[in-house]
Amino acid sequence: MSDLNSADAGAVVIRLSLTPDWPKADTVAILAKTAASAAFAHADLSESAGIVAGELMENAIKYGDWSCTANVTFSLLSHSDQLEIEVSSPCDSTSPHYQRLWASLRNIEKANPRDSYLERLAQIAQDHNERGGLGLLRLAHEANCRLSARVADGERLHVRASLPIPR
Amino acid sequence: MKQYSVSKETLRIDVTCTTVIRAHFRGRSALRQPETVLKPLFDTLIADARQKGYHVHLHFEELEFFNSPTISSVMQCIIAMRDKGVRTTVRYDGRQKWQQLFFEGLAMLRGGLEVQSV
Repeated sequence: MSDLNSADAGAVVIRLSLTPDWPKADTVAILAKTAASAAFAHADLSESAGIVAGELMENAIKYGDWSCTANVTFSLLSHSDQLEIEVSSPCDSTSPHYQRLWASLRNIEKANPRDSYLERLAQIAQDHNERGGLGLLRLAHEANCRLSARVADGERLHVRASLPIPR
Repeated sequence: MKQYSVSKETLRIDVTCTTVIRAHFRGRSALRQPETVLKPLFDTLIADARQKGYHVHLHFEELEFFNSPTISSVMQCIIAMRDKGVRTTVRYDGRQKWQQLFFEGLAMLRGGLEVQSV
Protein backbone atom coordinates (compact mmCIF):
# COMPACT_ATOMS: atom_id res chain seq x y z
CA MET A 1 0.00 0.00 0.00
CA SER A 2 1.55 3.29 -0.98
CA ASP A 3 -1.38 5.71 -0.77
CA LEU A 4 -4.52 6.14 1.23
CA ASN A 5 -8.01 6.82 0.05
CA SER A 6 -11.31 7.21 1.80
CA ALA A 7 -12.12 3.50 1.43
CA ASP A 8 -9.14 2.54 3.63
CA ALA A 9 -10.77 2.65 7.04
CA GLY A 10 -8.18 1.93 9.71
CA ALA A 11 -5.19 2.20 7.39
CA VAL A 12 -1.74 3.57 8.15
CA VAL A 13 1.03 4.82 5.88
CA ILE A 14 3.99 6.51 7.52
CA ARG A 15 7.44 6.89 5.99
CA LEU A 16 10.31 8.78 7.58
CA SER A 17 13.95 9.42 6.75
CA LEU A 18 15.87 10.56 9.83
CA THR A 19 19.36 11.33 11.01
CA PRO A 20 20.58 8.52 13.31
CA ASP A 21 20.20 10.29 16.65
CA TRP A 22 19.36 8.11 19.64
CA PRO A 23 16.42 10.17 21.03
CA LYS A 24 14.60 9.77 17.72
CA ALA A 25 14.07 6.07 18.44
CA ASP A 26 11.70 6.88 21.29
CA THR A 27 10.01 9.65 19.33
CA VAL A 28 9.29 7.15 16.56
CA ALA A 29 8.11 4.57 19.13
CA ILE A 30 5.57 7.04 20.49
CA LEU A 31 4.51 7.98 16.96
CA ALA A 32 3.96 4.31 15.98
CA LYS A 33 1.99 3.59 19.14
CA THR A 34 -0.20 6.65 18.65
CA ALA A 35 -0.80 5.97 14.95
CA ALA A 36 -1.73 2.32 15.58
CA SER A 37 -4.03 3.36 18.42
CA ALA A 38 -5.80 5.92 16.19
CA ALA A 39 -6.17 3.49 13.30
CA PHE A 40 -7.09 0.26 15.08
CA ALA A 41 -8.12 1.18 18.64
CA HIS A 42 -6.58 -2.06 19.93
CA ALA A 43 -4.46 -1.58 23.06
CA ASP A 44 -2.19 -4.61 22.63
CA LEU A 45 -1.52 -3.85 18.96
CA SER A 46 -0.68 -0.19 19.58
CA GLU A 47 1.57 -1.12 22.53
CA SER A 48 3.34 -3.70 20.37
CA ALA A 49 3.72 -1.25 17.48
CA GLY A 50 5.45 1.20 19.81
CA ILE A 51 7.80 -1.40 21.26
CA VAL A 52 8.69 -2.81 17.83
CA ALA A 53 9.30 0.62 16.32
CA GLY A 54 11.50 1.68 19.24
CA GLU A 55 13.60 -1.50 19.32
CA LEU A 56 14.17 -1.61 15.54
CA MET A 57 15.12 2.06 15.50
CA GLU A 58 17.53 1.60 18.43
CA ASN A 59 19.19 -1.38 16.72
CA ALA A 60 19.57 0.55 13.47
CA ILE A 61 21.09 3.57 15.23
CA LYS A 62 23.33 1.45 17.46
CA TYR A 63 24.62 -1.02 14.87
CA GLY A 64 24.33 0.82 11.54
CA ASP A 65 27.46 1.72 9.63
CA TRP A 66 27.50 5.47 10.06
CA SER A 67 31.02 5.97 8.66
CA CYS A 68 29.43 7.86 5.75
CA THR A 69 26.61 10.38 5.91
CA ALA A 70 23.32 8.52 5.66
CA ASN A 71 19.90 8.35 7.24
CA VAL A 72 17.84 5.71 8.96
CA THR A 73 14.48 5.08 7.29
CA PHE A 74 11.32 4.02 9.07
CA SER A 75 8.02 2.85 7.65
CA LEU A 76 4.74 1.80 9.23
CA LEU A 77 2.29 0.38 6.71
CA SER A 78 -0.92 -1.55 7.11
CA HIS A 79 -2.08 -4.23 4.71
CA SER A 80 -5.36 -6.07 5.03
CA ASP A 81 -4.52 -8.04 8.15
CA GLN A 82 -0.91 -7.09 8.88
CA LEU A 83 0.87 -4.08 10.28
CA GLU A 84 4.37 -3.92 8.86
CA ILE A 85 7.14 -1.95 10.50
CA GLU A 86 10.44 -1.66 8.66
CA VAL A 87 13.65 0.13 9.53
CA SER A 88 16.69 0.38 7.28
CA SER A 89 20.23 1.53 7.90
CA PRO A 90 23.59 1.25 6.11
CA CYS A 91 25.38 -1.92 7.19
CA ASP A 92 28.86 -3.37 7.30
CA SER A 93 28.48 -7.03 6.44
CA THR A 94 31.81 -7.83 8.15
CA SER A 95 30.76 -6.48 11.54
CA PRO A 96 30.01 -8.94 14.39
CA HIS A 97 26.69 -7.20 14.99
CA TYR A 98 25.61 -7.99 11.46
CA GLN A 99 26.51 -11.66 11.92
CA ARG A 100 24.71 -11.74 15.27
CA LEU A 101 21.55 -10.32 13.73
CA TRP A 102 21.29 -13.20 11.25
CA ALA A 103 22.05 -15.73 13.98
CA SER A 104 19.31 -14.20 16.15
CA LEU A 105 16.78 -14.32 13.33
CA ARG A 106 17.59 -17.97 12.60
CA ASN A 107 17.25 -18.77 16.30
CA ILE A 108 13.92 -16.96 16.56
CA GLU A 109 12.59 -18.88 13.59
CA LYS A 110 13.51 -22.25 15.10
CA ALA A 111 12.87 -21.82 18.83
CA ASN A 112 9.90 -20.97 21.04
CA PRO A 113 9.93 -17.14 21.43
CA ARG A 114 9.04 -17.24 25.12
CA ASP A 115 11.71 -19.80 25.95
CA SER A 116 14.35 -17.89 23.99
CA TYR A 117 13.46 -14.61 25.70
CA LEU A 118 13.47 -16.10 29.20
CA GLU A 119 16.73 -17.93 28.52
CA ARG A 120 18.39 -14.68 27.43
CA LEU A 121 17.02 -12.85 30.50
CA ALA A 122 18.51 -15.57 32.71
CA GLN A 123 21.91 -15.21 30.98
CA ILE A 124 21.86 -11.44 31.50
CA ALA A 125 20.87 -11.88 35.14
CA GLN A 126 23.74 -14.27 35.78
CA ASP A 127 26.52 -12.32 34.10
CA HIS A 128 26.82 -8.58 34.57
CA ASN A 129 29.02 -8.33 31.50
CA GLU A 130 26.20 -9.65 29.33
CA ARG A 131 24.39 -6.90 27.46
CA GLY A 132 22.39 -6.76 24.29
CA GLY A 133 20.89 -9.49 22.20
CA LEU A 134 17.56 -9.09 23.97
CA GLY A 135 15.71 -6.68 21.68
CA LEU A 136 14.72 -9.01 18.82
CA LEU A 137 13.87 -11.84 21.22
CA ARG A 138 11.68 -9.41 23.13
CA LEU A 139 9.87 -8.46 19.94
CA ALA A 140 9.23 -12.06 18.91
CA HIS A 141 7.87 -12.90 22.37
CA GLU A 142 6.18 -9.72 23.51
CA ALA A 143 4.84 -8.38 20.23
CA ASN A 144 4.16 -11.78 18.71
CA CYS A 145 5.55 -10.55 15.40
CA ARG A 146 7.26 -12.24 12.48
CA LEU A 147 10.75 -10.86 11.90
CA SER A 148 12.75 -10.83 8.69
CA ALA A 149 15.71 -9.01 7.19
CA ARG A 150 17.21 -8.36 3.79
CA VAL A 151 20.06 -6.35 2.33
CA ALA A 152 18.98 -4.07 -0.50
CA ASP A 153 19.56 -0.62 -1.98
CA GLY A 154 23.32 -1.15 -1.92
CA GLU A 155 24.44 -2.36 1.51
CA ARG A 156 21.39 -1.18 3.45
CA LEU A 157 19.99 -3.59 5.98
CA HIS A 158 16.19 -3.64 6.11
CA VAL A 159 14.68 -5.28 9.19
CA ARG A 160 10.94 -5.88 9.09
CA ALA A 161 8.41 -6.90 11.71
CA SER A 162 4.92 -8.04 10.70
CA LEU A 163 2.22 -7.88 13.35
CA PRO A 164 -1.20 -9.45 12.88
CA ILE A 165 -4.04 -6.91 13.10
CA PRO A 166 -6.82 -8.33 15.30
CA ARG A 167 -10.24 -7.89 13.70
CA MET B 1 12.34 10.91 56.37
CA LYS B 2 15.01 10.78 53.70
CA GLN B 3 13.63 11.63 50.28
CA TYR B 4 15.28 12.17 46.90
CA SER B 5 14.75 11.78 43.18
CA VAL B 6 16.91 10.69 40.29
CA SER B 7 15.95 11.53 36.73
CA LYS B 8 17.36 11.30 33.24
CA GLU B 9 15.45 12.29 30.12
CA THR B 10 11.93 10.90 30.59
CA LEU B 11 12.77 8.46 33.41
CA ARG B 12 12.30 9.56 37.03
CA ILE B 13 12.81 7.55 40.18
CA ASP B 14 11.44 8.92 43.46
CA VAL B 15 12.88 7.41 46.65
CA THR B 16 11.47 7.70 50.16
CA CYS B 17 13.04 6.15 53.22
CA THR B 18 11.07 5.62 56.44
CA THR B 19 11.19 2.17 57.96
CA VAL B 20 11.05 0.82 54.43
CA ILE B 21 12.89 2.17 51.40
CA ARG B 22 10.50 2.73 48.51
CA ALA B 23 11.66 3.55 44.97
CA HIS B 24 8.93 4.56 42.51
CA PHE B 25 9.87 4.29 38.83
CA ARG B 26 7.91 6.70 36.63
CA GLY B 27 7.82 7.76 32.99
CA ARG B 28 9.69 6.08 30.14
CA SER B 29 13.21 4.77 29.86
CA ALA B 30 14.62 4.77 26.35
CA LEU B 31 18.14 5.45 27.59
CA ARG B 32 21.08 4.22 25.56
CA GLN B 33 23.16 3.53 28.68
CA PRO B 34 20.65 3.14 31.52
CA GLU B 35 23.31 1.63 33.80
CA THR B 36 24.85 5.09 34.22
CA VAL B 37 21.70 6.10 36.10
CA LEU B 38 20.57 2.82 37.60
CA LYS B 39 23.84 1.42 38.96
CA PRO B 40 24.62 4.41 41.25
CA LEU B 41 20.98 4.50 42.38
CA PHE B 42 20.93 0.81 43.27
CA ASP B 43 24.33 1.10 44.97
CA THR B 44 22.81 3.78 47.23
CA LEU B 45 19.66 1.74 47.88
CA ILE B 46 21.75 -1.31 48.77
CA ALA B 47 24.05 0.69 51.10
CA ASP B 48 21.12 2.35 52.91
CA ALA B 49 19.20 -0.90 53.24
CA ARG B 50 22.19 -2.79 54.64
CA GLN B 51 23.18 -0.02 57.02
CA LYS B 52 19.70 0.27 58.53
CA GLY B 53 18.45 -3.26 57.97
CA TYR B 54 15.55 -1.97 55.91
CA HIS B 55 13.43 -3.77 53.37
CA VAL B 56 13.38 -2.26 49.82
CA HIS B 57 10.18 -1.97 47.79
CA LEU B 58 10.67 -1.30 44.08
CA HIS B 59 7.50 0.08 42.46
CA PHE B 60 7.18 -0.17 38.68
CA GLU B 61 3.39 0.16 38.44
CA GLU B 62 3.49 3.71 37.08
CA LEU B 63 6.20 3.04 34.56
CA GLU B 64 5.13 3.51 30.96
CA PHE B 65 7.97 1.90 29.02
CA PHE B 66 11.42 0.29 29.29
CA ASN B 67 13.63 -0.32 26.23
CA SER B 68 15.62 -3.55 26.16
CA PRO B 69 18.90 -1.99 27.47
CA THR B 70 16.90 -0.80 30.49
CA ILE B 71 15.36 -4.23 30.96
CA SER B 72 18.86 -5.76 31.04
CA SER B 73 20.15 -3.13 33.45
CA VAL B 74 17.18 -3.31 35.83
CA MET B 75 17.41 -7.09 35.87
CA GLN B 76 21.11 -6.98 36.78
CA CYS B 77 20.60 -4.32 39.46
CA ILE B 78 17.76 -6.25 41.12
CA ILE B 79 19.74 -9.49 41.10
CA ALA B 80 22.74 -7.64 42.60
CA MET B 81 20.49 -6.31 45.35
CA ARG B 82 19.22 -9.81 46.08
CA ASP B 83 22.74 -11.24 46.05
CA LYS B 84 23.84 -8.66 48.64
CA GLY B 85 21.19 -9.93 51.01
CA VAL B 86 18.74 -7.01 50.78
CA ARG B 87 15.12 -8.05 51.34
CA THR B 88 13.45 -6.83 48.17
CA THR B 89 9.85 -6.64 46.98
CA VAL B 90 9.09 -5.80 43.36
CA ARG B 91 5.63 -4.50 42.46
CA TYR B 92 4.38 -4.12 38.89
CA ASP B 93 1.17 -3.64 36.92
CA GLY B 94 0.20 -7.00 35.45
CA ARG B 95 -2.47 -5.30 33.33
CA GLN B 96 0.29 -3.88 31.17
CA LYS B 97 1.36 -6.68 28.87
CA TRP B 98 5.02 -5.63 28.61
CA GLN B 99 5.32 -5.42 32.39
CA GLN B 100 3.62 -8.79 32.84
CA LEU B 101 6.04 -10.49 30.42
CA PHE B 102 9.18 -8.90 31.87
CA PHE B 103 8.35 -9.43 35.53
CA GLU B 104 7.22 -12.97 34.79
CA GLY B 105 10.81 -13.54 33.66
CA LEU B 106 12.18 -11.87 36.77
CA ALA B 107 9.88 -13.91 39.01
CA MET B 108 11.38 -17.10 37.60
CA LEU B 109 14.79 -15.99 38.92
CA ARG B 110 13.48 -14.65 42.19
CA GLY B 111 15.07 -16.74 45.00
CA GLY B 112 14.95 -14.10 47.75
CA LEU B 113 12.77 -11.62 45.86
CA GLU B 114 9.06 -11.07 46.22
CA VAL B 115 7.53 -10.21 42.85
CA GLN B 116 3.93 -9.01 43.08
CA SER B 117 1.44 -7.82 40.49
CA VAL B 118 -1.23 -5.26 41.38
